[in-house]
Amino acid sequence: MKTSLTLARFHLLSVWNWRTSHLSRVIEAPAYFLFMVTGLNTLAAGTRIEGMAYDDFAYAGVLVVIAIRALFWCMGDVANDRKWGVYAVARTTDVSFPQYIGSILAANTLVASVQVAAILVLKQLLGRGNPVQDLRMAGLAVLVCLLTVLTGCALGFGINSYSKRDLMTSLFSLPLVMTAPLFYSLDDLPVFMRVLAAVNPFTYCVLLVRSPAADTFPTQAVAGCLVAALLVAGALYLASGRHELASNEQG
Amino acid sequence: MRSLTVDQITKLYRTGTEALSGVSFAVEPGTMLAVVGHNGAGKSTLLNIVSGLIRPTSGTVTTDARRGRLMWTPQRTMVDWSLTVRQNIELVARLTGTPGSSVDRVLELLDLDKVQSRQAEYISGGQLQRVQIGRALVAEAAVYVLDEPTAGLDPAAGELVMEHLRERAAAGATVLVSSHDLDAVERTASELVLLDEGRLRAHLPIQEFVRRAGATMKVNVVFAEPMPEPYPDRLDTALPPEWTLQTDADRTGLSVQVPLATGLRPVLAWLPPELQVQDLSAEKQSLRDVYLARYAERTPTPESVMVQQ
Repeated sequence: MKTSLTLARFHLLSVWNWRTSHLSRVIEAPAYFLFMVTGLNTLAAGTRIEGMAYDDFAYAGVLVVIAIRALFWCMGDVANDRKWGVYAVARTTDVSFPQYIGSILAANTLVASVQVAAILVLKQLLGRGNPVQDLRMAGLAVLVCLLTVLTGCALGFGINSYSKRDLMTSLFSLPLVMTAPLFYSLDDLPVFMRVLAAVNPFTYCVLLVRSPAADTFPTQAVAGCLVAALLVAGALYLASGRHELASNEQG
Repeated sequence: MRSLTVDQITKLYRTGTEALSGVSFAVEPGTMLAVVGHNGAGKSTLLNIVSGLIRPTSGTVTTDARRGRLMWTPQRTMVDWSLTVRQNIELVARLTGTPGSSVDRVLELLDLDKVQSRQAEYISGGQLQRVQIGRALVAEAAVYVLDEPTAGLDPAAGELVMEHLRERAAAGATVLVSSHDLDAVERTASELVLLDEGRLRAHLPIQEFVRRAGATMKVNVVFAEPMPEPYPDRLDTALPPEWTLQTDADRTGLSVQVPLATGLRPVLAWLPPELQVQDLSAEKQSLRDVYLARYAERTPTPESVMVQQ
């Protein structure tokens, strides 16, 4: 635990030292949220989407966008650690694989939690809040972030080149956002979009985050998230034994 | 007691390149072992395997874990660019439970104290190399593995680093270091591993290697007066077969090249007593000389491996 926190501290120092390049993490989610609730909300014209106000619907969507971003940031962190020798230094100084994963989990989930908290506060400041329900949704979003951070870890161990990392981020981040019901309902979309949504794990994540605003227990969401958690655990198990301590990525 | 044993290490990369083939050697505590060879000989692969950074295709590396940890420095720059100089070194110190005073000491030793607050991306290449070395040296270890630590350093800094490594070895640590600076290697290291095309060619104490690799000594003699007849022809007739002789045109001096193992005494005994020697000097071939003469080119056919009997 102490070792994980020591490593996590250096991950956070890294974020702080490069705060200007991490500015997008501060700006993106609030900007999305403001755009949704003050702009696109007018399209909804007061109608309820999937039984909830658009503010609540978009709030959950933005929280899941934070989780998606956490996945790719975390993937990059692990890839950088393997490229820069941080992971190798840790492992050759007797830091175990779980301790290292713990450090990544602690640092990245903390950053994501701050982002989630910022959206929570912003929603209240805009006067569109339901504090108890919003807090419960935020809590579930942090759980989803834990899952995506672990997924990012597993993926990071498979990254051995900058081009691969770039490809992963640019190829998957937008489709993951667009094919999940983050900001619009899937009901009126073409069948292929609904098929894509069905295989997009973030569809189930956003259903889980929205569950406090829905009246029924989110059986489908919980099942989907459990399957995702099992897949992530399997991927991490595979990652634990199959990688070299340092990638051959230059620079 | 061996602190490090490398046993039949082979490394085959996915590209099909066989970087190492059946390399074996063992090192005792207190040894500073230099790994030398041409570019692509397999030095970095070997050191990366010993460090644990990459895995061998077959074979094993055993370190005596009872004696402590292993610290390493890679050949290519591997620092956390987002951390400061101090934070990069402090990270290792924290993970190894090393006190902060060691961080200060290493920063001062490597002349990094003035740039310790700068992020790694804003320092020079030589300073980056020092950061990497600092990461390896900040904690006490049983084994240090440094891949070309003096590359990119100015001569004084390179000398300082090699001397410091020698001191660590003298204190009981095992130091593996690769370097193309063979003069520095000869001054500081005690043993040598020579790799060629991924194969072990030699593992010997350095002076033993130099001797067995056929190093020579050139003895220059200046006489008080020009050599009288029948010299220098008479010198030729008494010359042992493995010696070569050159005389000055004005007969005032000569140079005789002998195997290094011969030593100076037989040369002095060979000089006729009637020739009065005014000045005498000897130039021994260095590790660098014998390496350049014999091993600088890749050997197309395997030679026998030179190891201590």
